[in-house]
Amino acid sequence: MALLPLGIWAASGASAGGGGDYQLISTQVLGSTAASVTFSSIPSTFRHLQIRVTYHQNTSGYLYFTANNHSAAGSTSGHYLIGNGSTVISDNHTSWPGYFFNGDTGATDADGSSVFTAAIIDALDYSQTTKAKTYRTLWGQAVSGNNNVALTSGRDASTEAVNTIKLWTGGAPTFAVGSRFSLYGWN
Amino acid sequence: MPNGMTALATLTLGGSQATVTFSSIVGTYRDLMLIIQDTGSGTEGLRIRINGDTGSNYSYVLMAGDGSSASSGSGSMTELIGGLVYSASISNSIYHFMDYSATDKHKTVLSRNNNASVNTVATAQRWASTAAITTLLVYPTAGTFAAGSIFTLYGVSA
Repeated sequence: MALLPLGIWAASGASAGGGGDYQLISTQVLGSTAASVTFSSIPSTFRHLQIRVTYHQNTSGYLYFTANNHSAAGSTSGHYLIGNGSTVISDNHTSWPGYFFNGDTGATDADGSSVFTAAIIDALDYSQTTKAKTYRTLWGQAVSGNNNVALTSGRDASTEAVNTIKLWTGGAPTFAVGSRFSLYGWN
Repeated sequence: MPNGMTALATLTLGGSQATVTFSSIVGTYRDLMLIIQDTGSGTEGLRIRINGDTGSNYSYVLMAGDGSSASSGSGSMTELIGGLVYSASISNSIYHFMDYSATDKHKTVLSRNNNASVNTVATAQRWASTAAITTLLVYPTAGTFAAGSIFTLYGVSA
């Protein structure tokens, strides 16, 4: 059996200094409930973006990902592959007010306050002005009665460089305290 | 801007081995990412146990495609699941341990697991503990990992 103690590795400076090809741009951890989280003034110097999220929503309802405030109906389209513990569902949308990055309801108060949903959202070629924007997400939570894992893809037809990203709820839900949203840039 | 990802440890097996353990994981990152490429001695599943917890404290939901149909399952286990350890073909897995050191939430784990000869799988799993993750034990359901299997643990910056 191989034991790999990591305290020594971390303390010896095995990590690189600032910079590198995958960089943390910003993290927001909610100290109070919120209906949305926004990353603004996103630098255009990376190739791709990645948003890593753990969130809890107080009640059921949809969540959206919107770039540059493109929230008019039909601004985005998407496809979803969702496993709910018994069946696999395939769906799509062409007329919603944002990229429905999750595919179904995340963990709510009914599931327990310690249960959080996770999502990893990739925004590919986000600063290119010659192409529409493509997004993809791995998402889910494991809790009896609300088991869901999803692979989703989204498209924003605009060729604008993305400089603002907003994650927001479509009505009743709010993000709970402790929900975390981190934005990273890939070179 | 700070470096966003740090390789904490890498192990390439020089011979067959029953388990791989990452211990003394520091709590200064936001997430952990574990990348595995493996073969084994039989036809087994890949399992991961957190902090030595052998209780039924792991929940899962998975979605799988095997080339002819798609399926979904869920349940509770005594460890994390998702990947394969096969002698006849290479399997690869990426596990994301989100907010692994947070003490105000259970630990949510997302994974993608693939074996081109068998299936492709996505999972969402939960370790029902608010303890920070400090140890990961990786093992096949039976037998051993084969020489050449690679295990790399990354810390994603906070």
